[in-house]
Amino acid sequence: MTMKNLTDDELLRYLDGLGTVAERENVKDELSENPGAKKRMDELQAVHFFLQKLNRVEQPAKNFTEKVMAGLHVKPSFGFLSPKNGLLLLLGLMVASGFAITLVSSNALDQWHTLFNIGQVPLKNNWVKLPSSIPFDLKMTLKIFVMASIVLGFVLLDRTILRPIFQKRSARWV
Amino acid sequence: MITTQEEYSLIDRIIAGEEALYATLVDKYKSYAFTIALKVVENRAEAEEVAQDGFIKAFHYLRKFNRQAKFSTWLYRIVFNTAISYKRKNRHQFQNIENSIIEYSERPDHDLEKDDKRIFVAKAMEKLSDADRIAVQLYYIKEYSLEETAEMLGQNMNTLKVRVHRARQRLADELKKILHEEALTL
Repeated sequence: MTMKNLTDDELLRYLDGLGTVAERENVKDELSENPGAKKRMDELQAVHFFLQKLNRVEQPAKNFTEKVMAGLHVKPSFGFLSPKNGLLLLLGLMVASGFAITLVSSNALDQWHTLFNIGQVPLKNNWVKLPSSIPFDLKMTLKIFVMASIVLGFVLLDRTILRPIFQKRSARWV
Repeated sequence: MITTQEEYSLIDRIIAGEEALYATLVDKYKSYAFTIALKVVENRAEAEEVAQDGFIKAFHYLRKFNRQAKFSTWLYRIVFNTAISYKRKNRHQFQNIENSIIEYSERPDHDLEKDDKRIFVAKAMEKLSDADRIAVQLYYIKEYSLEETAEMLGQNMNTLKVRVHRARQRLADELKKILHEEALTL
């Protein structure tokens, strides 16, 4: 009998119980004749055997269904932000707000106000009477930014950090 | 055991407002959903959380289930995607090999040689890519056909076959290497 090199593909198909009767007989014969093929088959068979043993359907905790049912109407937290990213964004907002507060509390911005004259803009508007100029005050703008940051900070703290923590904790007790 | 038609009418009733009936579907599919999540995140507590999230998402998207695939395949795909995004968000830098061994060694087995080989296989598994590892593990559970498993994982069947094939070759090679190194240290 001439020895032929069996490929891994042929050996794995044999292990999976695939192929025609003739093909399987052929592989069987080759394995009894060819020690190299037999050695490789033993290696693949060891993996095959242990994968069969190791992989089975696992069972979740007994109260799994109750937990799912209890969570059906829990409002989702910000889906796009993990607690870690939420915390980073919150820190960023705090740094920016701190910087803005420092600027506002110093007198450096006192000169930063002006009037935008829009009286010359050729806009025909019969319904709304536009003012001839709009005042711009950088100090006031920064104050508004700080207020908005504080509100956003609280929302972030609630949605991305505190709420997920308390939801997890309450789900654990279901 | 409920038939596909009975399952569809159950889904219709859940959509119509009988939400408590969803527990029947959860009970039926929780084990395999949990297994998929466990194979991806490799931690029991996190897998429970992920599988629960998957079921909750599926409940909210139930109206969008178009019944072209089986409900189970559609559900498992949601669980698998939830697990993948969870893993991406919480990528562990250091994976503890001891945990995976404990995971695999729940069955009482006092054969030391077998236990050793199991540890070596678990060690070799670590060398596989996530995609190959999950493919080969779900393939060996043999709960669903190759076609259904491919659909769950959002891959085509040939890709899945290649992954399973490559993973087993790689495991055999790794195992040979590990056993050779072990033999040298004796």
